[in-house]
Amino acid sequence: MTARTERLREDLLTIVPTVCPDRATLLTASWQDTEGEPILIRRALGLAHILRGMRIWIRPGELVVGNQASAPRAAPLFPEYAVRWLRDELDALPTRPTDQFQISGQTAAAVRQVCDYWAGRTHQDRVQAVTRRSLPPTLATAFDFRLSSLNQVINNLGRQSTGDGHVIVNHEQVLRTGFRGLIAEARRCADGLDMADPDSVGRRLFYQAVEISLEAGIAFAERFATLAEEQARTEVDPARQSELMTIAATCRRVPAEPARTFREAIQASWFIQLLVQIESNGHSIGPGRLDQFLFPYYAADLAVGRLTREQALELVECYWLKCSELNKVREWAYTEFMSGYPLFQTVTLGGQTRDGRDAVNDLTSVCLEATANLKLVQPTVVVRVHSGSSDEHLLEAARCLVRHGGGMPGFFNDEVGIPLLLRLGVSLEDARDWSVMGCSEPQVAGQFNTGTGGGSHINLLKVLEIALNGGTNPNTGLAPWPEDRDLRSFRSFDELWGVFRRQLSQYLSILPVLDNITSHAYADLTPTPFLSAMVNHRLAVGKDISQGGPPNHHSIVQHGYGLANVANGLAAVRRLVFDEQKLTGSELASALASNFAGPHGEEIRQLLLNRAPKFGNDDDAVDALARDVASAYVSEVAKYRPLRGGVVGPSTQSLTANVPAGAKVGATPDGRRTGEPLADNNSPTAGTDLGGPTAVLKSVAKLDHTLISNGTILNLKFHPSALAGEGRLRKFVAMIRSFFDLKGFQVQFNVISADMLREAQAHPEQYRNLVVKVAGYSALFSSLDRKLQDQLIARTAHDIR
Amino acid sequence: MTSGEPGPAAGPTGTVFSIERYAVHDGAGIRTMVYLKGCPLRCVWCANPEGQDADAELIRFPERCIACDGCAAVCASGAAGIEPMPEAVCARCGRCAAACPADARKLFGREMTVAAVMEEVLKDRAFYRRSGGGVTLSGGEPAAQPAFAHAVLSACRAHGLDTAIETCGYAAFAQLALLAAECDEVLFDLKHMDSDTHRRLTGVGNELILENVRRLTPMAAVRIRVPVIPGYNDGADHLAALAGFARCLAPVPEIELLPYHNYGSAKYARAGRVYALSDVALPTAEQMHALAAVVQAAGVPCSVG
Repeated sequence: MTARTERLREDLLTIVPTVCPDRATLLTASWQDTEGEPILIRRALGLAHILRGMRIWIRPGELVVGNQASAPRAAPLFPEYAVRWLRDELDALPTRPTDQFQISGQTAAAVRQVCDYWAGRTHQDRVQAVTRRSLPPTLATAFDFRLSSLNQVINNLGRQSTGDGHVIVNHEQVLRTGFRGLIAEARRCADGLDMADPDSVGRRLFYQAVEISLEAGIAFAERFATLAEEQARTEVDPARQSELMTIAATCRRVPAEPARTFREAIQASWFIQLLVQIESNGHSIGPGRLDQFLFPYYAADLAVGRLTREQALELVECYWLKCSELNKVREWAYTEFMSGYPLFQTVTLGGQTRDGRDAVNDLTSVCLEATANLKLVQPTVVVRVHSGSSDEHLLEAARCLVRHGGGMPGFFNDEVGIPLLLRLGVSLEDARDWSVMGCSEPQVAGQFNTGTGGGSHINLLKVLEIALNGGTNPNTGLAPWPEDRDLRSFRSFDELWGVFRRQLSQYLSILPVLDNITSHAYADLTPTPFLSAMVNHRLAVGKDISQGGPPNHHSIVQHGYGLANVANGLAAVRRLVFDEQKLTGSELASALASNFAGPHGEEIRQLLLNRAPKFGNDDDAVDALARDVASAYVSEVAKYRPLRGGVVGPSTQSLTANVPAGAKVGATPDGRRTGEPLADNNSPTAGTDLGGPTAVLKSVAKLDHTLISNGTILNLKFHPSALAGEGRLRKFVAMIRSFFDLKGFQVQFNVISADMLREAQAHPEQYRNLVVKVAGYSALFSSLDRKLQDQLIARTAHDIR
Repeated sequence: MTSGEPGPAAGPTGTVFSIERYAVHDGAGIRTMVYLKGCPLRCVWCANPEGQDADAELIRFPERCIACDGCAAVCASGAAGIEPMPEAVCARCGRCAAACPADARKLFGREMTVAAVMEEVLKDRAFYRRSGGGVTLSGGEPAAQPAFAHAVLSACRAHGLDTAIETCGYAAFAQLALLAAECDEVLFDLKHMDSDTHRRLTGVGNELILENVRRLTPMAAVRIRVPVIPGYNDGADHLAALAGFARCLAPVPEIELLPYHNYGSAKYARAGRVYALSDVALPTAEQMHALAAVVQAAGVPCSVG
C-alpha cells in the first residue's frame, strides 16, 4: 500500500453513509418530460439525464475516477423500483439497527417529492397489482402482500423494491471495442433491420436506446476529463498536476475507444462497473475475472516499461477503493436479509484459461496483495482452485486470508464449478472461463442474463415446522395445503418425510408465478439498455436483457436455507421418536409448542441437542438427510422454467436472512428455541459441530454440489495462530484441497479477531467449534476457562494488525 | 470401508479417552490423535489428567447441568448429584453419564476395537493424503497398552497412513521398539535430565527413559520433545545438559521445545482434582527462542513447538 492508497482508505473508513438525492430527482424530472416515449427510450434518456446532471468529484490523490453519488459511501436512490418503503422509512434510516444512512432535511424533502411522483407507478406497484390478480383465492389469503411472502415460507421481497442485477458483464470485450465500437455495431444492426419484420420496430427502439445510453456513458467520462483538467489548472503540486492531466487524457479516451494501456483498461473497467450500477441498483454486479481481462494490458505495459508492478498494484488498490465507495440503501425488511451494506461486487482470481491451463499470473498476485493491504469489504475477492493449481498460489491466497482476517479470499472449486456449468449447457471453453457472481453463483461473463427475475427466499425450516403441524403454520394458523397427519399422529419417519416433501413441493409451486410476474415487470417498466450492451448477444438479438431469450444461460437465483436445522430436526425425530422411542410424537409436539417450557421441556431439548446426530460431524446418519433435503429442494426447483429462458438455479445461501427467517419459526426438533436464528448457508448449526474442521468439511462435501447450480456457502472460523507459520499454512492449504478432492464447492474462513473471541467468550454456545492454537497444540476455545481465554484474547490482538 | 481394502485384524481392544481430528502440531501433515488411557507418570503439569488413570473416569461439566436429577436416580453408589462429588464413592460405572441428557457428565475412557478406531481415523483419509498426515497415538501413554497400540499402528500402516506415537518413554524397551517399528516418527518426551528432580516432578526416575531413547534413536525417527515448565526445567544449564545428552545419540535427533501451557488446568476441577501449577507463568516466545538457542549452540537442531 502506498501513502496515497493508505490515506484514501483512511478517509473512506471514516465516512458515514448518507443518502444522495441526485439520481432520484434527475430521473424523476426526465420521466416527467418523456411520458409519451416508449419505455426503452425513456430509460435511456433518463440515464443520460442523470449522468449529465449528477454531481461528480475527484478526491485528492485519486487515480481511478468515477462516482456513483454526491459523496463516497452515499447511496443513490432508485425510485422507479419502489417508493412506499422509502417514504415510510426515510426518517428511520439514520437510526435503524444496522445499515444506517444519514439524510439531511433538504434531501429528505426532495426525496418525499420524488416519492409522491412515483407512488403508483413503480415496479413494485406493478408486481403487487399483478400478483393480486394472479393468485388463486386459497393462496391469496395466505399471501402477505407487504412482504411478498406466502405463509412465511417463501418470499421475493427483494425482487420488488430494487433492480435486477446479478450479472457479470463482458469487460474483456468492451475494453477491446470501446463504447464507440458498440455504437457502430448497434447502428449496423439497426441498418440491417427488415422493416417488414414485425419485431423490427421494437428492435430499432432497442438499438436507439443502446446508443443513447452509450453516448451518455462517454459524455459522463468526459465530464471527469474536464473536471480533472480544471483541478490541474489550480493544482500547485506538479506531480499531482501531472496525474490529473493523465486522468483527463484517460477519460477522454475511454470508455469511448478501445483501451491501449493498463491505466486506460482499469479506468474503462471501472466506468463499466460504475455505469451498470447507476442505471439500476440490482446488486451483485461483479467485475469477474479481473486478473485475466486486465493481464494483456499489464504484461504489454511492463514489457515496454510503461508501467511498474508497484504502479499496477496502486491502481488496483484504487479500483478496490472505488468499489468500496459505492453503496445501496434497501428497505428494512430486505436489509435484514443482508445486513452490512453489501454490494457483492465479486472479483474472481486464478482458475483456468479457456484452453484448460492454469490461469494464475502476476496480476493475480497483485490483486491478492491489494486485498490484503486494504482489508476492505468490497470488492469480494475469491480464488478458483483446480486440480492443477499450484500450492504456491494457494499459499499466497492463504497468506492474503490471514492478513485480511475477514474472509478474503474465499475459495471455490473448479472441479465442481465446471461440471456444474456443463450441466447447464455451457460450452467447455466458457465453463473454464467462469466467475463467481454475488456470493457463490457461477456465471460466465457476458454469457448469462441477469440472475434474479423472480428470485425467492425459501425458509426450509418453516416447511418442516409446517409439516410437523399437519400443514398449518402455527404463527398464522393458515394451512394452504392441509395434511391428514402431524407429529402427534405420524406412524413412521417415512410418513413425516412424505409430508415434508409434499409441503415443500406445494410451496415451491408458487415460484413460477412470482418469477413470471416480477420478470414481466422488469421488462415492462425498467429495461436496462446500457447493461444489455455490456453483455454478449443482446445486440445481435435486438432485445433488452430483461426480455431474456436465447442465447443465454440465465439462472434465477433461489435461496433455500435452514438446511442443517431441517436435517438435524428430521434426524432427531427419526432417532428419538421412531428408532429409540425415547419420546412420543405427542410429547415432542407439546414440548415444541410450549418452546420447551413444560416440566420436562429442558430435558427434552437437551435430548434433542445431545442424543441425536448433528450435521457437521461427519455422521452419515444425519448427513444423508441433509443431502436428501438439498436434493428434494433442488429437484422441486428444477421443475420450472423461467420466463427469460435458462433454468431456475437453487442455492443454499442464506446471506443474513437466517436471523430474520429464524425469528418466524417456532421451536424445532433440532433443539432450537422459538425465534433463534437458523444455521447460516449450508454451514452446521452454530455450536453443534464438535469434530473439528475436517468433520465439517466432510459433512458438507456429502451434498451434491454440482446440482446446486447457484452455489453453496460454508463458513469456517479459525484463530489466526492456527494459521501462523509456513508449516501450519501448508496444512491449511492441504485441508482446502482435500475438501475440494471430496467435491466440496466453496469454503470461506474467518481468521478470528480478538473482538470475535470476546463475542465467543460471551456466547460460548455459539462458538463451540472455534479452534485455537496454543503453542504446541490446538484446543477448542470454548473448552478453556475464562482466564485462559483472556490470555488468548490479549495475544490475538498482538498477532494481527 | 469398501471391500478389497485391507481390513483391521480382529484383535485386542484398548481403552481410548479421546480421538481428535485436524491435529496439526503432533507430527507431519494433518493428523488424527488417538489418546490411549493410562500413563505410568504423574507429571505435575499434565495437560491431560483424564488420561492418567488406566480405568474409565467420570468428568463433570457443571456449567451444562440442568438440574434434572436424572443422574441421582440411576447412581449405584448414591453419589451422583452431590457436590462436590466424593470421588471415593464413585464406582465409575458411567450410568449417570448415560442418563444425562445435557452431557454434563462424561465417562472418559471407552473400550474400543481396532476396527472401531480405524473407522474413526480413516474418516480423514482425504486430508492425510493431501497433507502427508496420518495418525498419532498419544495418551496417557500408548506403550501402556502395547498390544492394542501395536495393532492400531499396524492397521494404519496397512492403509498406507503415516504413523507416529507420542511417548513418555517409560516402558519396557522391547515394547517401545515394537511400536516404533510401526511408526514413521516417534515423539519422545524428555522432562528432566536429573533423575531425582524427574522423580519429584513425574513420580518416576529418568534412567529407563534415557536408556530407551538412547537405544531407540538408531532404529527409529525420533524427535525429542521437552515441555518447558518455567521454574522447573527451564534453566539454561538444564537445557545445555539435555543438548549434551542428545548430541551423544546416534543419529542426533531434533529437539522440539514445547512452551508450558495451562490449558489442562480446568480439567482438574472437572475431575475433582487440584492443579498444582496454578501459579506458573507462561514462557514468552523470547524466552523460548533463547532456550532453543542454548540447545542449538550445543550443535543439536532445535525448534519451538
